[in-house]
Amino acid sequence: MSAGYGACPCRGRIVTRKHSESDKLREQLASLQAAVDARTADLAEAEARLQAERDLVDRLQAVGQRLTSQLDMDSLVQDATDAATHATGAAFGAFFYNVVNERGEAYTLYTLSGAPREAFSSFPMPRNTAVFGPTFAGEGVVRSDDITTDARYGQNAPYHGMPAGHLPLRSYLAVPVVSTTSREVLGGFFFGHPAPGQFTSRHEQLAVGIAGYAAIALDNARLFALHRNTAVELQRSMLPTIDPVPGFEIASKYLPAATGSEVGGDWLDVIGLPGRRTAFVMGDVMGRGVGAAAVMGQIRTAVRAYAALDLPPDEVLRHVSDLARTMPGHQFITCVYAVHDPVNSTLSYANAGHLPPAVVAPDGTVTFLQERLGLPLRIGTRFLQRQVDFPPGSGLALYTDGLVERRDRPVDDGIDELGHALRELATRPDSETDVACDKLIHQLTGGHYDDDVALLYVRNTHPDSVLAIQPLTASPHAAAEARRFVRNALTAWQLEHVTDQAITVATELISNAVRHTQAPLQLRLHHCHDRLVIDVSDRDGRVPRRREPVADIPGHRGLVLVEALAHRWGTRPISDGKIVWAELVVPAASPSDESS
Amino acid sequence: MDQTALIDVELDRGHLPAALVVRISGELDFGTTPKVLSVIEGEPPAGSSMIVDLSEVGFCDSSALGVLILVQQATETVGGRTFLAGAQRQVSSALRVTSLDQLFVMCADVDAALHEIRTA
Repeated sequence: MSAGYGACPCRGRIVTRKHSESDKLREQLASLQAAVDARTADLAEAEARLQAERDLVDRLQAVGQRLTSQLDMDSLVQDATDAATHATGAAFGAFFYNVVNERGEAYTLYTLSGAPREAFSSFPMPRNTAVFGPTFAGEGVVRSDDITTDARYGQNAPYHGMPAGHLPLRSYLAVPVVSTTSREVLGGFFFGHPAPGQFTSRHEQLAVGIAGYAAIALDNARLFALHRNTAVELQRSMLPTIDPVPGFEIASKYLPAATGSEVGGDWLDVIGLPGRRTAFVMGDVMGRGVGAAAVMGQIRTAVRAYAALDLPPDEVLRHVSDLARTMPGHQFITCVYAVHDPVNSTLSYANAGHLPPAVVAPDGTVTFLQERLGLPLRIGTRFLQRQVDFPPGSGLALYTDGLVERRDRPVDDGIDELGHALRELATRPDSETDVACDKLIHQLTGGHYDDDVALLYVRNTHPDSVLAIQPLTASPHAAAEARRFVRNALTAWQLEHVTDQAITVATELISNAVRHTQAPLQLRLHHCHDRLVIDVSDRDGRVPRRREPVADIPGHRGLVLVEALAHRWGTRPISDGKIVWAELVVPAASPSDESS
Repeated sequence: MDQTALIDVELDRGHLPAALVVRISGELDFGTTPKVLSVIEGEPPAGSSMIVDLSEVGFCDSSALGVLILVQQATETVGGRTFLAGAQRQVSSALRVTSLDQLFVMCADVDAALHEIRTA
């Protein structure tokens, strides 16, 4: 700038002298400007062209990313059709694709974009004609400025061209969709426009690009569906069918996750035990997929096997945990095992790290059995057992984390919400339990399962029952006292007609407890509906065996008598000994019995 | 309560040498059978039969059945037969379900048993 000040004093002179020069300069400038303008226009055009190229690539990229991230076939094909129809500037587009159902039958489905389904629903599927053939055979792209004047058009009966009522179509573009892995033709895109000459090579490029992405996405979706179906099928085949159990209203729900790639290892079970008792089981093998489902199947079977031995809940879990440690894999497994005993209306349970069972009292009060009773299976070596009252009218809810755990809600809040929902459920009549459970799941999950959801809800609908308990001593008179007790109880219950059987069975059971263990605990009589259960507990773990009596040798006849008089009998361990029980069928008293 | 009052065992030697009659009254189970065993130990004398009068026995368990088998064996050893007389409902039921009724001669009462011994 400083140089300019020096020129200032002589500015007037210069202006006058340079007038004609300035005209020249102006002309030069103008021509330069014109050149710049022309160059700018060229550049703008080039930029626009590059921009268009970039748009094309971007668009393809965006569509490709979107398509290949989808695994749901239906939404995937629709998205692909919409994207391709839009990208090619077609008036309407269709995607015909081949699917194979679970019975192995192949058939063709299609999606539409830019036209209502009715526009095509009255036409048969496109066949292997001169126009369509190259697409369905995967031979290559068919692009025509005016298909109606194309040599390949109108060659095939019965229509010899478009069927009547077809949308007006001149410009035609068809692109096959071919699997990149198997080279199998998965389907084809078809685009149309009523005006001729609409589809350029750029449109073709776009359509081919989208078809490529669609092929990858379809391959993925097919493989995914195959994989997932295998796991779902495996899991389903291992889940038991829950049969009705007299005295319970049972709702069992298992809903595989709607999102996520694979099934989980949740399971539930209801197992009938001797003495009209019932075991309820809920478990969860962490991890997903076929591996988790296979471990689940083994663990479920193990639980059933130990349940069949009629072991107490803590011992069932201990044995299963020991067994699980020998299985391959390292998933940890949670499980809760609860046994209902109608004799004293209780629920005995043990819990290997599973979410707390919820007990709903007849008045609707919900209690979560929160106490930690053991580590997950495989890790835990010792499990505690607890007992709660479970009178008729009570409910029990066992569930997996999918019900209460959501990304947007802490587990504790989920459990609170479950508590409220169970209180509401308790007010529903028994006949609505199943539907109410569906509603409860929907309410807690918002209808969207991040994880598998399993729920077992059991309501105790046992008819009223009566129980009488007599403590026993090891005295020689224990049985005589017990007989008096049994006679009194059966008289009070108006069951005199089974007194002979009952006192015989009770005496034999007590006789075994007194003579063989020296530590009898108590005698219980439980009457419910048409059954009378007599059981005797003692503090000795040894189990009685029925031995075949030898014709004229005394002894071994006690259990023969029990077996002859009882409908069935058995023994089961308890924490500090065992219970030997016998169940008598109690026919309704006949009028003659009542009058006597 | 005097628990020994639950059982009473009495030997009637009035029909010897044909038969020794054992009258039991009360309930027979593992607590009371030892008393029966102690009373009949060494019986019956050689050549006699044994009649067990069960008409006053309201209850018998498997240990009592065992005692009856011992009685039968002892009697057989001395060449006699064992009669069970007047078994009540629960008692005959226990004998029946264990098939022991085939091991003994079942009689309505002691007189019927004596009659059978004399006419044999």
